Amino acid sequence: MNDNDVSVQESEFDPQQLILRAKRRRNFSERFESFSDAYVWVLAAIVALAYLFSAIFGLIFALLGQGVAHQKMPAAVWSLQELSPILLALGAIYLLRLFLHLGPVGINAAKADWWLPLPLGLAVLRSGALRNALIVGMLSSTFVGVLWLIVLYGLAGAFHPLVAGCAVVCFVLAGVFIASVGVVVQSYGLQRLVQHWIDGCLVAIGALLMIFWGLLAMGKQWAKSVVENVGSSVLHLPTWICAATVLLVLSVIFTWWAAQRNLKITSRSLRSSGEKQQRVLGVLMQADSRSIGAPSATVLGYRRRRGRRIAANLTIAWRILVLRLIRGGYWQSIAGYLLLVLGLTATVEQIANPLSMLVFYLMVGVLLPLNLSGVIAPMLTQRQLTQHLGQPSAKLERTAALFAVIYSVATLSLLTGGLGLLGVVDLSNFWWWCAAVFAGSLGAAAASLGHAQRNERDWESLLGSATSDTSVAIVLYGELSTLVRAVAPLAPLFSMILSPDADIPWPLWVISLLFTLPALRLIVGRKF
Amino acid sequence: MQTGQSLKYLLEARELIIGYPQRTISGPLNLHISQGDGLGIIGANGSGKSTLLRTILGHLMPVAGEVRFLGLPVNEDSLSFRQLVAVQVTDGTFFEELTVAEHLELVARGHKLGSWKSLVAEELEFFELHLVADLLPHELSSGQRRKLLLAASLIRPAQLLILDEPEQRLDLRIKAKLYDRLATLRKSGTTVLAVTHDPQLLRHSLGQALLLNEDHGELIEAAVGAQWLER
Repeated sequence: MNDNDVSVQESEFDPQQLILRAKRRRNFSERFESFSDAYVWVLAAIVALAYLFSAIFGLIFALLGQGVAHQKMPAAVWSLQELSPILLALGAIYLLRLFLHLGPVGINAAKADWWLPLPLGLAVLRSGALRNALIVGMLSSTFVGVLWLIVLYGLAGAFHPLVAGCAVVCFVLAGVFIASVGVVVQSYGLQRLVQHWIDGCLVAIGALLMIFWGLLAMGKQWAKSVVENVGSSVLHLPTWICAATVLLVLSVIFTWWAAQRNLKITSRSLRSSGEKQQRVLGVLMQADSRSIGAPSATVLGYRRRRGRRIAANLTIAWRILVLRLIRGGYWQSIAGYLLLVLGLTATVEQIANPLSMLVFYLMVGVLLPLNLSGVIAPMLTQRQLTQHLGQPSAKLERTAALFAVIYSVATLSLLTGGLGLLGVVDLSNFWWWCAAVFAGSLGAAAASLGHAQRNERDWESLLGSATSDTSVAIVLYGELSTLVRAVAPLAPLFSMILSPDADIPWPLWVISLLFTLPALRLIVGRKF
Repeated sequence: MQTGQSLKYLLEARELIIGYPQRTISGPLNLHISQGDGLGIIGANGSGKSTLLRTILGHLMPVAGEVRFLGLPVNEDSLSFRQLVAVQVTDGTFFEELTVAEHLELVARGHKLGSWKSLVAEELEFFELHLVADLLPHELSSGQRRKLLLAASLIRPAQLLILDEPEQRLDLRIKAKLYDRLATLRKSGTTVLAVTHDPQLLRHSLGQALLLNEDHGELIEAAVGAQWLER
């Protein structure tokens, strides 16, 4: 029983050959279908990157408040460019954490059920899984790195093409290094421990940021020069050449080590990593990023027990919604966003400007309906709930609508109140602000109701089942209409941010109220 | 490698507690299964039947205690474990590009069976899959997919055969043939371990039952287990 497969001679029979033989047998239409699927995804990725590029540039333009006067915040001690290296470090750390969550070496369910139990040497299976892990590491690191480069380009205005080229090489090498480290950690079964260390590392980075923020606020010149040097070093070629050299050495060593240790990864680990990878891919396809953060089993266990007391005295429908919000971790993305907005506004130069505020409201207008629709979707789409709960569907829909409005009011009020406390928005017209927040909340609720009612949330099947340009356009139109419904009711808020002293033009109220009608209709319970 | 003949028990569980780090499901359990034994695992939903199977197979770590196969701790990575233990899981997945016959070919050739072509043909015939031998998994009914999983676990030689609710979605004729075959396999020395809800399987093909009840297991006669299932 101690004759591990590592020592086994490779059998003559190679399951991979059988699978390849079957793949080669496919007829032209099947091959074309497979090719066209891949082609559509590559095309979609290129188009998405182009839009992402524009969106990032737009965001940076707004955050820097180009051409608009910004307020001098007393606690704003550093610039976005000075913070950009931290963003890169965080990206790399999160990538490693995600890789540890995913394995990173895993095999799909078919291989786990059919290939893994065969009494053969599994070197082919394992090396294929290792190769996939390294490729995914390389691609994801390059993707994160290129996004960061776009941000840097937007902040710095320009940098030498050689710097960009060298940086991309660094990102590729960093991806190989991160994936290899993940494989080595997986082979020792230390993922949880290392994830724990990474969490500690993130806390340390946060603490370091707080310390430097304090030092800068106290006017310590040496701290200022450290921050400036770090911020500007990313624009210099020698920094990247040095980083590339170090990463090359590290990635060669760790890739070799990973290849050795790959043979020691247990079948149990290969199987469970494959399951996790499938799950994460599934939630990505549903545009649900909650599990990407890879919460630990302890956190999930704790989360599952939370909220019982809060929901104890609520009616069953309200209890379902509140427990979904708490135990599903939906509230965390909104809370995180609010903290990020307030933190950036208070501590980073130039961000306290009307354009940034406009973007912050715009983003919450998109994030809120997406987040809310996940919470309320069962109430609107699972018809069997009416039988299980013994309540008519109209009542469940009304509960969902009311919940959506209350949640939106709370979110927009916290954002507006926080910005008001910082003095970035002028809340002297208090009742107009209240009215604008309420209208915006109704709009966010209406958009979330619309989004949740479209049952199908799987992007792969949505786009995959779209057989023509027209059906793709219909899918995209549906998503666009959600976006418009979410953002249009924020028009009075935009007006108050951009022209705090002027009255809100009445057409804006009309537009806003028009888009809030679906939510109002559900709350009132009749058509009008 | 030690062989089953030299040991008293083929499979042993000692003070085995099954479940997950945050949640214990059942145990401590003690099991001693010899060559040619037949054990049905029965119990209410959620009592840990499938979890016990996954733990015995090494897919899940025991919360406490240990499982031994041929006197050594269960190790899925061991070549001999893979040679000697055949498994049929509840809802298997399939290679979408391989046909029914090719799935069986994969298992037979993977186990280095010389006459794999005739063995594949026999299994197809036994499970009445010969008419769909060239179809892909997504073209099969759920019952046919079930039969393919069973055929894959039976086409290869094994000292221990582990089945998870083999009766599911099978028609009566195939069920009867399967139960006869399991009884014959036991007579020829193969140990059969099956999670089941079917009293007929217990009575006909298995000698004993392990009733998983809340937090413990109780070994009972197959007939008593069948009566429990009928209640």
